[in-house]
Amino acid sequence: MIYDEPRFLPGGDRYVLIEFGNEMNLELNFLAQGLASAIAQNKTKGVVETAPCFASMLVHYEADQISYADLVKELRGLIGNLGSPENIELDSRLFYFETMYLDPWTKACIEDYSAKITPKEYDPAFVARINGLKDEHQLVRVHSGTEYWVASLGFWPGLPFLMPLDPRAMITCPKYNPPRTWTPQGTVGMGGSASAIYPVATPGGYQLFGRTPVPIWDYERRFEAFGDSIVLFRPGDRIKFVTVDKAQYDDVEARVKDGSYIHNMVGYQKFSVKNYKAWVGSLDRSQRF
Amino acid sequence: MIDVLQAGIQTTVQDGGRPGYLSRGIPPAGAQDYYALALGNLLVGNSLTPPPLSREPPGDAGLEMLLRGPTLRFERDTVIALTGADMAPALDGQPMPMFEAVPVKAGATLALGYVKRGARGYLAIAGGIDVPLYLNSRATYIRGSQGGLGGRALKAGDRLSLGTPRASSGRVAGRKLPDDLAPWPERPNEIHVVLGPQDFMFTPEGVETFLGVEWKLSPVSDRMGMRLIGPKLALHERPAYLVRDAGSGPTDIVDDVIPIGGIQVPGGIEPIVMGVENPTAGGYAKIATVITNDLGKMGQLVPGAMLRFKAIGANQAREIGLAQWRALKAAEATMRAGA
Repeated sequence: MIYDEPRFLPGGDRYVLIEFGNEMNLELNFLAQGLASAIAQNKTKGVVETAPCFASMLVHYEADQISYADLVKELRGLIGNLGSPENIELDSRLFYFETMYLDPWTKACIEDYSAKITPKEYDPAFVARINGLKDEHQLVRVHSGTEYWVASLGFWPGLPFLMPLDPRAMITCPKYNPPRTWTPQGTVGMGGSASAIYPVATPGGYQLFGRTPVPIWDYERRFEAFGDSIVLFRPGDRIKFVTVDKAQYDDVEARVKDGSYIHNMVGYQKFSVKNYKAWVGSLDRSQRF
Repeated sequence: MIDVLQAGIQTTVQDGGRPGYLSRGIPPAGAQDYYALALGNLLVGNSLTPPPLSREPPGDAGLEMLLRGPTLRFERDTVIALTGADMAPALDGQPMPMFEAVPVKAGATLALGYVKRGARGYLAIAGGIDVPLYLNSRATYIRGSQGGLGGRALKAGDRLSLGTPRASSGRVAGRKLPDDLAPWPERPNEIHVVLGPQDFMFTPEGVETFLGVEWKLSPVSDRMGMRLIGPKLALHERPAYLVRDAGSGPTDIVDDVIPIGGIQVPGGIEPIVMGVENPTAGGYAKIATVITNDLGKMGQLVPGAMLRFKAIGANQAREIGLAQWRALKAAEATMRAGA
């Protein structure tokens, strides 16, 4: 649900968590990011950083500069000024990510899990089936048919939690149980209604569909698109997965290796919640790609 | 330079850490027991380790040594101090005092054993350990393979560079702690928490159980999280729609960003206290959050140790934190002035 009034919850002596609701709803994330942006503009005293997630935001504050009660008061005021979520406009960069769906690497990973841990249907076929899609090829069309919204980063440095902006591309699936012991770096997958890109090879629980060679973190600062950060994304960025074949994948991978890869990114757009909602309202949600 | 002859169980380069990157998925890392490293830095005339998550500069880097310490050889004359867990230190075969600035000669060997008290020992060296700064800190983030020496725990054969000491060794050698800075907390097994953020998901009986019983630290504990063994905590019924958006478990929530010190309770059993390398985001209700000053106490408990939680308010937690930091700063000023 979406709460009538946001909840302010203490996280020890240096954090306050603001919950706007407790459901997977883009509108709640827009509120969280709108508040983060308002705090940044307002330069709220004592705030060290803001970290939005799907339906909430954690604020880290310096306890010797502002008390919990005073900070909550400030935040209430800022949320009041935000007014309706429709007024929120957010800086939003768009990244195009060359991605090979139904790739050999995640297939091998799924087969390894089936052989060693527990037998399991091929993830893309499974997710297509439980979402009423014809087959894994339609799953690829649906999953790659929308821009994704970076709702939050976490669990691993730079790992983006993504929500589809086009409701016609909304699919859901359960996570692995038990989880995998390994996942190839760059894997694209999803659990619940969120998609993600694995920044490095790690254990994991998402269903796997594809792989991208595009780096999303850069410890050695080799790529310009990272600016002064080691992780590529910020909350409020968008990603479009662009389907590529093995030859194109290999070409991008080679350019990443030799450092000549240039991230395909547009950085001049504002995301208007009002325009977005008007567009979503005009769609026939029963349609699939 | 320092030669690492034996590495110990998990010895890492740590300072005050790098707070401020949770929104990018990067935990602060740094010393799990900031106060112990701060005492060591104070004794050898280094810049102080600040409390976790504060905006102060991270201070000079030292070694955090888990359960069994390393054996090290010093290539130049310097001054060192050992704080935190007692690892039966021996300098060239002779017992070495803790909580005191001790001069060492070039060629000397420091051998640390298994802990006799506490879980994490700290070694501060005049001038600090010099590894490259990564996001403004020298702290090792082990799980992410970042910072410190190659993003990992030390191995035999490693060599550590030292920074330039801020004070002459003659001046700091023999320094001891002032009376108002206790080497150990008075009640090491009493951990202060602020209830929340999601204590409302537990019944009053559940919260009462959490605060009333003794918990045992599980061996499945590290800098990411410290697991606790004890009774199941009672929870309120959840609305049915949460199964779709959050998961089917009784404490599953829509994922949020986890405070350092947050106590997740997956399924209502085996609470996990998030350490300085927390995974930054997760989907379990957090019944309470350990105050930043007591993260160090948590870090000094050995597997099997018993502990209790005591709830206080955020303001009271802030007072405890400020009082400790002021005492450290005052001691630093006194020592600089010439004592």
